[in-house]
Amino acid sequence: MLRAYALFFALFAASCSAPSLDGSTPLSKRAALEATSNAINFGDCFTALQVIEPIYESANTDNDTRLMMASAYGCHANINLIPLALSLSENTDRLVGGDFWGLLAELFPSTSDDRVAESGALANDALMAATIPGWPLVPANLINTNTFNPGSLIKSDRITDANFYMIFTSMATIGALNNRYGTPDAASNYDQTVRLPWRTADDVDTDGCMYASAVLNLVDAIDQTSAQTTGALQVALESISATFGTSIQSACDIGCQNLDPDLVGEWQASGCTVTTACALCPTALRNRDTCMAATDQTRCAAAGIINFINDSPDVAGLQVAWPGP
Amino acid sequence: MARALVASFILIQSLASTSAFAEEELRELFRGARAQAMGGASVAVVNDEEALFLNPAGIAGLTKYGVQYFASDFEVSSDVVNSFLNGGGTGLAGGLSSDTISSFMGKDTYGRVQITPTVLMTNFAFGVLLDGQAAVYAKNPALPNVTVGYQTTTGIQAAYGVSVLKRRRSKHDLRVGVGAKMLWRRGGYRKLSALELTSISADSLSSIAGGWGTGYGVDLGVQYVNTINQKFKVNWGMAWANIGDVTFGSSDADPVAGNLSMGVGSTLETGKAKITLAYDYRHMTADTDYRKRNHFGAELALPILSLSAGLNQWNLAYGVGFDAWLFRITALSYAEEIDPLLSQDASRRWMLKIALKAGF
Repeated sequence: MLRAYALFFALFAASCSAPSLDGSTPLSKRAALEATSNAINFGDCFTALQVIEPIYESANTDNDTRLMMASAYGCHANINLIPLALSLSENTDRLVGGDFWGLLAELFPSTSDDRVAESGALANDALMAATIPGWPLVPANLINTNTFNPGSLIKSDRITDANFYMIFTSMATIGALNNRYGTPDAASNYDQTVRLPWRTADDVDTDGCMYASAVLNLVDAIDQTSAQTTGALQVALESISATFGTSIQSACDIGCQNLDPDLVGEWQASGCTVTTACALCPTALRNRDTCMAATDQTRCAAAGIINFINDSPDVAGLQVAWPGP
Repeated sequence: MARALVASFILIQSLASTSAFAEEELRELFRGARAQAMGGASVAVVNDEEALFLNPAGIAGLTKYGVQYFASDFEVSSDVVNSFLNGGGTGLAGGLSSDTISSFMGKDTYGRVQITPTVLMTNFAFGVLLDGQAAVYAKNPALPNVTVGYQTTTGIQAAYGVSVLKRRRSKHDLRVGVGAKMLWRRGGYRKLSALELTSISADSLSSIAGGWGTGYGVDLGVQYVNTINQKFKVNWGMAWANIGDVTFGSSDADPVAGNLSMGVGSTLETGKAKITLAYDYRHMTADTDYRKRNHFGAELALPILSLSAGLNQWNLAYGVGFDAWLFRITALSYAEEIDPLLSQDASRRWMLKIALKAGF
């Protein structure tokens, strides 16, 4: 009898192997996703990224993996989503108008080497890859097509959770860059003390493209998901959309056409050499890499957005520019 | 016997991971206090009222009639206990909202009440199951991963067990049993998206719970008791509970996953003490880490006091029971893995069973 039991144990022990976190089986993928969540739970953003990145960059990736990758970057971007959503809901007065830019600076403190802004942008890359299964994607709107995570620049191509989280990852990028380049004054409602530097197409560099693409992605994401939120958060998001949604598109067009709408103010014409109107912000501007690599037009549109934030004239009597010098 | 074990093992491997449901926490329809105090190991050795739910073959081991007219189990996780000890309550006093969800972040908040009055006769048992569970598992503040549990189950269960070899005057015993159940369930465990979390409210619980559904289930079990001598017996057992899973029609209620388990055990009687050892390999068809299927347990039963200990999924379990003829109280603690792999996230739980009974 004892030999029988020993044989039983030996058989089951010999036939089994410890599960891994490589994502090659449904169990290992679920385990890796939970391991990433657990790491973020303990504030260990480095381990979170180490666990999920190999699966994200493999053929085993999927939308759950992409969302988790975005959350690992979100950890590095200091995103604490529920309190952040509550902060927006409780500061609706600062969402209507130029104080919005100072609020983002307040919510996302950052220094030049902490990678908060970059993490937000990298999260957006992952979120762009979370497309609707079975939905036809237009190749011209795709990025990173030589990877296992091709992304779409079109908001309606992405799943709802991706667009929703993109609101917060974009805010992280904007807020962090506002701190780095706008030097906001905490004693003065986080008003900028230095204008954002990317005021002409030639001034727009990788950080300028990162900033402009984050602004555009924020507007896109809010437009796509605000109707599915409820209560105070919906009010907050719709306030942002109402204030900036149309104005940002107009700012792109002004930049594309090398115009200066405020001849006596500080708004600088973009210096765009290809003055073609862009009624809507160029699709390519939504990706910081295609922004830099494309023709003048995307950088011109980016400069238009920056000038809007720095020095926009009031819209319907409402100051929409970031208060400052 | 060895050939039978090999054959059953091969059968088990062929059935492994055939469940339609991916399971992180291996939830049980019924958690018996005695079995749980022994690390969840019971299939081969159970021969009391818990056999009705754990292995109907154990019904054949009943030697007297009995009624547990009140049997209630109360169970909470450590985070709930700590919260109350720190004066914080469960955090749900203000209702379910984004704010309260935020307060749950990083915690395993779980509570369960289970009431199971039973009637026991030789070869037959009947019982009622009333079960209510609530839980919030929240992690990953960057992009919240939140599971909300809200589930109510009621049901009736009956089981018949018979000793096959005893009829042939063998000193050994082969018991076979069959059980049937009818359940009504509402709710389950739902993972909420970040968008849903920011819109959550008290009304959300109703949508999580959904409507009631009715389900039917069948259990099969077998136990082989090898009597070495008058005091020492070695057991083997196998049970398949909720064969084919118990589903609840068109309702959103979580199904009860089938549970194929096999185990071995032994009992040693020394005067007034009885020592029981048991090992179970449970949830063999679940898509889960094989290490979570292991359960080890030991029990020292004295006339009115019993001490138990074991390893539930390699996590320590321990308990003490007090049996004073008309009532029994059992207090125990165990830990349950709620993530896919062993040692990812073990939820420590505390359980108290109070039973009023009569036997004759």
